Amino acid sequence: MRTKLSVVVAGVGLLLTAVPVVAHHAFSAEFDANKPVKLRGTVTKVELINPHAWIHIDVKSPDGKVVSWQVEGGAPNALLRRGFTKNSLPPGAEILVEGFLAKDASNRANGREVTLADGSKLFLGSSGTGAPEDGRDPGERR
Amino acid sequence: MSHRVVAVLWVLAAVVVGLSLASVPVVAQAPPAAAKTTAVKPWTAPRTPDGQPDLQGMWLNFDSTPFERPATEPRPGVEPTTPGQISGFAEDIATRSPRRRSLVVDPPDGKVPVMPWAEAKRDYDLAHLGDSWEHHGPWERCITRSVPGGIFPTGYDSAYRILQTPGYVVILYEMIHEARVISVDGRPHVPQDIRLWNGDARGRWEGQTLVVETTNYSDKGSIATNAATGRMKGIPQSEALHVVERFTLVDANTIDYEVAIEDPKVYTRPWKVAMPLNRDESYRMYEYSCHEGNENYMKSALGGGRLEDKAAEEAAKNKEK
Amino acid sequence: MRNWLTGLMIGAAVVGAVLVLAVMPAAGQAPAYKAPRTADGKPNLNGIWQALNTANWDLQAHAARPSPVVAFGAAGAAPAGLGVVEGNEIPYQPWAAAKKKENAANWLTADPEVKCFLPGVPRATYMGFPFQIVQTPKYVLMAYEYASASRTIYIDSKSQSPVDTWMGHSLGRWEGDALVVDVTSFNDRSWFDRAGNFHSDALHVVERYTPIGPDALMYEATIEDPKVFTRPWKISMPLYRRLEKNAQLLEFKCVEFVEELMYGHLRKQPSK
Repeated sequence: MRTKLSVVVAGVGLLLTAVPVVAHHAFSAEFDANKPVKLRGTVTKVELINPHAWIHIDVKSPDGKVVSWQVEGGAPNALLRRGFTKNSLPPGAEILVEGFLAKDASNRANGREVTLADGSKLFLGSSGTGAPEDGRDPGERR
Repeated sequence: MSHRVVAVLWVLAAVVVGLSLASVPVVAQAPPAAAKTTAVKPWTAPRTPDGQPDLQGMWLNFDSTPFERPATEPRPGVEPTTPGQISGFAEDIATRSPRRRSLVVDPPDGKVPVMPWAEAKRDYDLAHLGDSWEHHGPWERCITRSVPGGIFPTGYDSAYRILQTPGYVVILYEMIHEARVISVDGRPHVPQDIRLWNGDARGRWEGQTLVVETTNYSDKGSIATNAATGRMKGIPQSEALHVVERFTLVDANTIDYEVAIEDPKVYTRPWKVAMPLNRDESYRMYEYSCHEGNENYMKSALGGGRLEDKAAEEAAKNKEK
Repeated sequence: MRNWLTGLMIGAAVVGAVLVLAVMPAAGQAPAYKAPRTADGKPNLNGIWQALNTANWDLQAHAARPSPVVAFGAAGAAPAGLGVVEGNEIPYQPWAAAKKKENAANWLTADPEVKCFLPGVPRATYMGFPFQIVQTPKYVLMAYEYASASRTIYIDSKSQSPVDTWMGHSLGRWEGDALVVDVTSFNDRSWFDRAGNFHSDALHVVERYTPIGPDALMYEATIEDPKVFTRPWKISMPLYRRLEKNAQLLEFKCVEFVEELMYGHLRKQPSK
């Protein structure tokens, strides 16, 4: 069941309209569209860097082990213009990431959409060209 | 009035409109002495203190006009992009896109006359992204968006700050913080032995038009580096590349930009791209450090390639058993 | 009868001496150089400039030392330098002094310069590559040949940066003949030199560019970082104008020089 993308103006002052989604990297060079992943974890660090922002999260696996993951977002230069700041995802925030695994089997994923603890969604705009079109990307238009 | 008369009047109106659009020269007639002139006064650009036409400011060109006409088909490994996918800046596109069917304006059919070998090289690179960084484009490698490739509109950071000082026009491209220093004092190009990713640029003024001639290219780069250029992304540059850009200030908020691209090893004839640059002093540039944050991309791409190699080896071994 | 002539000569000599003394600058005070002005009345700093010292090797006084890469021999060895730090002391907090030593020991793998990362401020100034100052009333652009780095100095602006960057956020103003630049919003990734001197994201740099002659500027930078140092400290050095005919910046796009270093272990090897 696809969840409709809802863009919410969150209390922390985020202002997200349709985020420009093109990143210059070809999606398929970096991520595997056949390997979708769902990660639930706590934010430890947000790197607002180019060419892609990276959100570091600690994910607790069922056996209690904590594994750290890096989730790729869009380019800060695009995100900043839409109100995203370095405080938009504060350390400790619990998020659910739905995206695709990096091709080199590392703990990296492309995080197209992030659900916050209060249920609101944050679109990270990282799809790049050629990401699987599943209706989440506001940039997808036919 | 009868329908026929109305129809004739419509036809006449259309003919008049058509003629004036086609700029057919008409025999000059002395205007009546008291008639007001309807001629549009040519707009004169303000000057910098040292007398150059003043092009300074923040210029944007977010634009969803397709690069070629029709927008080119996807190639293996290059994912499709429709104009709507290219930019999220809808409000910019609505007001700034020229009424034009492609950014390529010459040849008139809007198709770049690329030689087959160049398209084959592009395809080879795309099929071998997992092998080495050398098959990735200069933008993916975080080297440069290229010249003139760096001015072809893309989804973000299509912003250029122009500054002028005596003897120089400087264009700062937001993407990968590229500061292009163009001397306009008539000095010669650097020696032929010096080959550069973005060539060596020399400028001169022709009226209100800044003409920038760029030579001394290396053969390592690509003429177009972003997906919105369709099949042109990844087409190689040769050392024979010769680029002439024209920046014409047509009013206080518009520069008409045109670039003529000639590379006899890659194209069967020269071609041109044109688009307006639109002033927006409210736009804020941010630092686009690129290479500093690019390790994850390259590691994923190449690491993924090595995993695929291993898997292929395993599969071959299992077959032999 | 000759007395009036002698008196006149003495008087003239006295008047002359007084006049000369009046226009002579006070002992020990050289007349400040007044640079030619731009059209908007500011000292003209336009041009291509370069530092001529070994600050990029080591900000502090140092003897020559060999390269860690034996194959380089003398060609990769570090030259000596008198140092550019006022008082020659960099006032590290105890934990930071240890970190600096660790950085120095691991220079080849830890120095961001080796990977062609952006040099930050003030290191960009004394990299040993030329840079061009492009001066306009509202914006002064510094275009560095090294890694095509650049930064825009916003004149008389109060703008802030929402994000930390490699080159910081630069706000400039004119104080007499000096361009004073206040730089903040740094990330913690760049170093000051190849000797492991480093900073945190609390770094605050105040630079002064003062013309001292037609072809030289005096560059001063006061460095403050409450997470790393116990007090502010200062470096200074002349910057010299590149005087060759048709001097220009060329490319040092070093990314392609470091890809083998950074990714070579992942590259597809030719099949045996």
